[in-house]
Amino acid sequence: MTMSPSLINETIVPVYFGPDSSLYGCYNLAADYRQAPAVLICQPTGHEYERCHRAMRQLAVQAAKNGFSAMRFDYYASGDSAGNCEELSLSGMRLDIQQAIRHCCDKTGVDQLTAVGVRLGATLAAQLASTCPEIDSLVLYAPVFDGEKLLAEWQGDQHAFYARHSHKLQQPGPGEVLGFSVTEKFQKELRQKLTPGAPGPALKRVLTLIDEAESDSVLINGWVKMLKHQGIEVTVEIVENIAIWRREPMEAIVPVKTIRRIVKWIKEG
Amino acid sequence: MHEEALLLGPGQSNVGVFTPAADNTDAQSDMAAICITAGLLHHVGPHRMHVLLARALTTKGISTLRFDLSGIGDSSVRSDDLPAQEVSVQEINDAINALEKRGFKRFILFGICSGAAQALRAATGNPKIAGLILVNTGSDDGNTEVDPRPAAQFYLKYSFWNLNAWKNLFTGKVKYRALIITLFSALIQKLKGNNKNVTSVGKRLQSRIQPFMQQGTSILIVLSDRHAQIYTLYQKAFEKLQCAQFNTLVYADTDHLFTSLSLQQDLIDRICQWSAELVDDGARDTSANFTVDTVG
Repeated sequence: MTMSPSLINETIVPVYFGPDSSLYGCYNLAADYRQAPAVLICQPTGHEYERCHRAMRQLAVQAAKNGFSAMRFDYYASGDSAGNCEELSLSGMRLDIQQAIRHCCDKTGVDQLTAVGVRLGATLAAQLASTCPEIDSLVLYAPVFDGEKLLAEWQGDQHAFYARHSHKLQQPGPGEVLGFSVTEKFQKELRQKLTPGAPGPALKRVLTLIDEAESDSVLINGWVKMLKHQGIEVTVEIVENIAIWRREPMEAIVPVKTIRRIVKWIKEG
Repeated sequence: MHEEALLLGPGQSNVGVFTPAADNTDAQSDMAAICITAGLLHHVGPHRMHVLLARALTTKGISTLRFDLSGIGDSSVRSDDLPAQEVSVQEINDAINALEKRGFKRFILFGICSGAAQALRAATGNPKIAGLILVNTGSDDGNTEVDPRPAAQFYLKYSFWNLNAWKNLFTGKVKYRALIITLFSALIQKLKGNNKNVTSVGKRLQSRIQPFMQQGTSILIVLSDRHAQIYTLYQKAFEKLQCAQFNTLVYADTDHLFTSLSLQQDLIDRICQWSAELVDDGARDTSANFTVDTVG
């Protein structure tokens, strides 16, 4: 699809795909997208999705400008996809990523792609790299390997928000985090082991971007060590102000330097 | 229900999602709603509210289009030199045109914050706009002068008596510069005896809304956060607008973006009810042409 050059200079294709066309996705396609390598962006969930959306969109734009076809999509029960927030589950999100990989490969004609995951999206993409032969490289933006810690952070941010606005807010209900429902079932899934297993034979390169506070994370370091042991090229970089999901939604922060770094790393492959 | 992803406008550069009315509703309306993006948040809306609203409206026989203005969400950035205010009017009209091609004749524009301001601007002089739902809008008349007294009143009336507000003050969680400037400016205005601006917010909004009363557009104003606390400034101006359907919902217990899940649901339910009555004019209680409901 070619757009009017007087208005825009990129090719955007929004789609519904997956079972019963229940998943929403949006492509930023390279000029010759049937020849171009592909990037699949796995977004975070809940308030983190809302606060990272603009950054992920910019990542897709930059990837397309650099000759890649980039796909973003919404998990079932989030964003524009079908379903209610209460239906969100990690197992469902894994299936959604697989559906998105399939759609992206069909659309762009590639057999393998780079998966870029943010927060829980990074965790799940890394988990799937064990079994999906289509994922040959991974970019993990602040992956979550410790679900208890994630839940504590969410609860802390919810309490801080309430404390800031308590003189004008109703007491939040249980399982409510910054405007989104986080069910008991979802919390239970998060409390299970999140660390990815051994990677599949297709995986060749991994870029992991983390906050300085995570640099001594036993879970992340242990996983990285395992990857290196298997001969996979792993780069771990510490990024300042990585936590864009903790900023107010209206701020819509775009970490330009980090996005450039991600695209450069993907291109180097 | 099958939602449909769309590209809108002459350049097919605006991304939107169309939610058709449910097939099993008694009568599908010729009225469709359009959700306009709030600030830099994309068409899903704050806390997914546009999606929830669109799906709730389907049960009332109302189809909905939510879309991203240029440079926001999934839409492209424009490369022409059109000013931002004109862009939003043009692109809302493009969305209306796309819905007209699907057989819709009357429209409800829904917007939160800047989305509400853009809805107001786009609806001006357009008789196809049957309803406007404006959540936390300002006067949007280009007047950048901000009266500090409503904010100062808020601090003195509410924050002063609130323990958490004091905790925030002493733990560095407030913007000190903004707080000092607001209180100082309000004091100066008071000492000067300048009362001209006290109701200016309401008056400016009144002047923006008056044309819609004449054009027969129904309006639902929703106020929360500081907008709700300074409602008294709007009230006098609003009371003069009784010539057409004009309803106000004041949510005293929530923030700007309706972070509370229960109040999100309450707002969606009330908007659905209001829109359903708009579709079926006969169902509307004519004695309720001017109402103010306080929630919470």
